[in-house]
Amino acid sequence: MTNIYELERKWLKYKIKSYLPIVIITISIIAIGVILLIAFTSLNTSKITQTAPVKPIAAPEKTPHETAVPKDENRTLTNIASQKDIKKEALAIEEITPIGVNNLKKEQIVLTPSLNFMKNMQGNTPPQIYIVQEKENLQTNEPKNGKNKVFLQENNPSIEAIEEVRPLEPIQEKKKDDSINISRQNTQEDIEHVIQRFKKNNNPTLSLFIAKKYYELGQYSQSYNYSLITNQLNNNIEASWIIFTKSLVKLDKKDMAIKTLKQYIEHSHSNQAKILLDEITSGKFK
Amino acid sequence: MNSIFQNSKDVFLDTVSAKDYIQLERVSTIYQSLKDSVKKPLKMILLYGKPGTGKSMFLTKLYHDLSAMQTIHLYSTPILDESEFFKTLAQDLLQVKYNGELNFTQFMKIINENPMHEIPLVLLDEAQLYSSALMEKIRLLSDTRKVKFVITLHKTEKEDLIAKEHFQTRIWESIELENTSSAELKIYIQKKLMKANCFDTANMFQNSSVDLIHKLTKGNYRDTNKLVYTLFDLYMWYEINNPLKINKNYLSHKLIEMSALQTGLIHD
Repeated sequence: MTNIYELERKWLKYKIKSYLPIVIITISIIAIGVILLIAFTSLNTSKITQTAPVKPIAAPEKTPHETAVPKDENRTLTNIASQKDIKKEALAIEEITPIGVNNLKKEQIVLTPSLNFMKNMQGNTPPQIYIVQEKENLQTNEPKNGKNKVFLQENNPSIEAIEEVRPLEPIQEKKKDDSINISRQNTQEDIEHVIQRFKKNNNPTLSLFIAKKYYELGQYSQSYNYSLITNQLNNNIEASWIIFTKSLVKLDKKDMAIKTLKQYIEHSHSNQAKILLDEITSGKFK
Repeated sequence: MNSIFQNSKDVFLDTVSAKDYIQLERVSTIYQSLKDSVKKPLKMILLYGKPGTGKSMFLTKLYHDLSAMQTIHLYSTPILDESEFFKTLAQDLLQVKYNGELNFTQFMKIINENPMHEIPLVLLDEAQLYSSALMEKIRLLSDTRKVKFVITLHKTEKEDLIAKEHFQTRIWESIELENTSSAELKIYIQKKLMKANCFDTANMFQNSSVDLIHKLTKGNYRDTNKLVYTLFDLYMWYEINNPLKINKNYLSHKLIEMSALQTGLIHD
């Protein structure tokens, strides 16, 4: 008679043996998987650690271009803008910004206003102000001056669109027109000279002068930018508000100009501002 | 009361009997081909295949089917002595009882002296066990067309050599028998059981169980018979000693593997 118990024991041994390769293969696969995972993770970590020091090295080279990134939110005219967004914008600007505006940042030209009128100026979307350096042939009429122009860029999509979409050809034509006018050439040179001075001392009077000159030259986006800079340096200069709102009107931002002016009037009760508001609302000033 | 497993076990006793022949589609085709070949004026028919593929069963079945119609002699066990071989042939084919030694020359003389009204068919099983010298004489005998031979060989290198050297020019038909497929094996087992009215146990053979049996036996009929015989033996033991461990609706893979271990098909 067959010894069933012995046979069962043999069968158990046989089953263990038959499953052994599967178990070994499974364990091996899991082990290989774990090793690969660890290797991959460590590789990624080492990559991060390798790349991490690069940023601080690169940052100082680039930071000079980020001329208007405010270090302290409370001190900016656009204190409602988040620091994160500003950095993003600044990084985007870096690519088109040549070297030469670093002085502005170093001297911290962006100051904190006492009013939050800008917050209301654009509804829920707070303006973000950066100083952006732009190649001369995109924004200025000066043909040969190798120096770069500095202007304030608000996080206003329409203004950005004006600056970005502006085709090259009309600008060049404009340059030709401007080059004929000798007096303008001198004015432009004057502005350049004042800009250099402004970069050195951040005097709001100089930035106001630049804003006025740009306004006279019809470069309203520049006058807008410099009036804004002036306002950030000293928000009690009435002329900066006037130029600012006038530039807004010229840039087809009439509603924003009226809103801004009203808020300024509430605060300052300026007669000149009231007159300008009347002119704008009545349509006299276009 | 007899256990259902007892009756089922007996079905798989390793015997070669025409009544145990199971009609399978592929096997039937081969068998019909063999029967047709026998009717042809052939000198020799070779039936070859691995052990346990049903060669002996084929010969037995052929003998059983043709014995009523023609002179046919089956030699299941090889007659290794040459004199004894020819004496047996003389006795069976010519009814000549010869005393003393009978060699090939003497046997041929007897054949020539005793003409036969029909060519007898001689079935030689396990022909690989015959000596080369005797095989050579069988070849010469088949050349005379006085006797027709159907021989079975195990398919080994040696048998192939015999087939090539001695019979290549004389063999008119060679039929190879192979191990069965899983589907055929299921039919084979179930037909065998149902032939013996073991319907309950026949139903226990599900596809997965037969697949496992086929995997273990490689479709060899003899190994299958051995395995299933042992399997039912184990079922009988469990039925008596530990009935809770068995299910009569399907076969336990564990018991199939235990049977394979017991019969030496697998090792622990």
